[in-house]
Amino acid sequence: MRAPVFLGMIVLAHVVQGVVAPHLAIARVKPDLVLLVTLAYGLLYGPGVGGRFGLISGLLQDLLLGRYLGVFGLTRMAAGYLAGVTERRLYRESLLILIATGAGTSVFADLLFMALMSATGYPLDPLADMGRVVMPAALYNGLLAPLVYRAVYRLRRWERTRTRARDGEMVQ
Amino acid sequence: MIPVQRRRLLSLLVVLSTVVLMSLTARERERLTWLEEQAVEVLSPIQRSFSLAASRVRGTVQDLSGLARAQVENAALRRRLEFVPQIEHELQQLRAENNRLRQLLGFSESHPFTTIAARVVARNSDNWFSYAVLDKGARAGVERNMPVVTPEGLAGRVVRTSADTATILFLLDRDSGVAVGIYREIPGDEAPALKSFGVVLGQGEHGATLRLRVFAHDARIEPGDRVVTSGLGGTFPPGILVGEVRRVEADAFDLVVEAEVMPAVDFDRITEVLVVADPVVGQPP
Repeated sequence: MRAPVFLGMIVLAHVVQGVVAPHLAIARVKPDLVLLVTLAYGLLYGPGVGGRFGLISGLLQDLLLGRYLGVFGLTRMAAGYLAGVTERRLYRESLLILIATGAGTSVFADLLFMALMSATGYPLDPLADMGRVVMPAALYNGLLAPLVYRAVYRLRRWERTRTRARDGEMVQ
Repeated sequence: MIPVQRRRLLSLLVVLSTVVLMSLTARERERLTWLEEQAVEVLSPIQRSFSLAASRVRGTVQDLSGLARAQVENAALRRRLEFVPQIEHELQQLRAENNRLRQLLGFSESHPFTTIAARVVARNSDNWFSYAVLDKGARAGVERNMPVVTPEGLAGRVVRTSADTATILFLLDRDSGVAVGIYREIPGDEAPALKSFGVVLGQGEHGATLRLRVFAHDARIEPGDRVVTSGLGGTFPPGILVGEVRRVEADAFDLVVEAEVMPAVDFDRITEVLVVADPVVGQPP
């Protein structure tokens, strides 16, 4: 995996999330495209890359927020790592499994977020937030997970094809 | 390759330092770090151009779908023309009401605010916070804690600025709090009557409503009461409409009165705002 593609994906995911996601909001719930790309990286490249992608993309989100620096970095890193750990135990070509993984990762990231924010004294209403934010977001993210996974999968295939072609040229 | 133990230690250090960073930045800060400023400055032009492209695409789609509806609307408009005299009468009433509201809101000629018009270039992309990035920053005179209004009422306040951008915290955000007065229009009376003072708190974007807390157990708050900034908090000038009481809730211990407030501003549709550059805080109107 090449660093420019890795960093480019992080910036692209943020721009798309910032511009497109608000327009995709249903009942004020936005899909978390950055989390879904993190999930796809974890599933395709393993826990190390998934965790790193999550940490850097989360920290970028933290910088834009300007408060509670690190909360998104930690939650995204944990989500990417977890996705990478489950990578070998899942049959990723199944649509249902991808939907369930997307929804599960979303719930995990949101619960971790709530736990961390509670520690800082941020006012949360756990029961209401579960019903209004966590579960609807899980459903939405779960439904979008296969699409984002396929996009990142194709990007990886393109990247590998280019690398092989370049290596071939160097051998000649 | 990094040995497994060293990698674990590195991961632990990353987690610990992030937790420390989070607790250090949980409160609002006077100044941003260079990295934070650069992140906003670099990403906001990209977001602005993508946002413009997205709104143009949306506009084209709306135009196309609008053509299909035009015929139906045409027929409906012809029917409505028959009601023009009635509509004109209603307009006169609305003008009078508007004048009253302008006085109430403090936007009258005698209390003009110096404002800086700004465009929203990005919104929070997460499901937890409620903020927006404006295309005007310190260079245009925007400063931290300046109130942000729309023609409908109070939207929030500036929480940080960079040279060419400003981040505003909407009233819906759970970190937001505004000192308010609760007013009731009584038929026959010139000015609305002040019923009580309280604090309006954000409940997150999903509630779309605000929480009013009045620390007087005998306060008589009713649905329909207007909630207006009191100027007592030290940040917002008095007289800006915040919203309207929708539902009053009884407190189990009878210590405070709580109510649900419908914000005057439609936060989903904010595209342009006014930053109040000279907020004169003080006594309520």
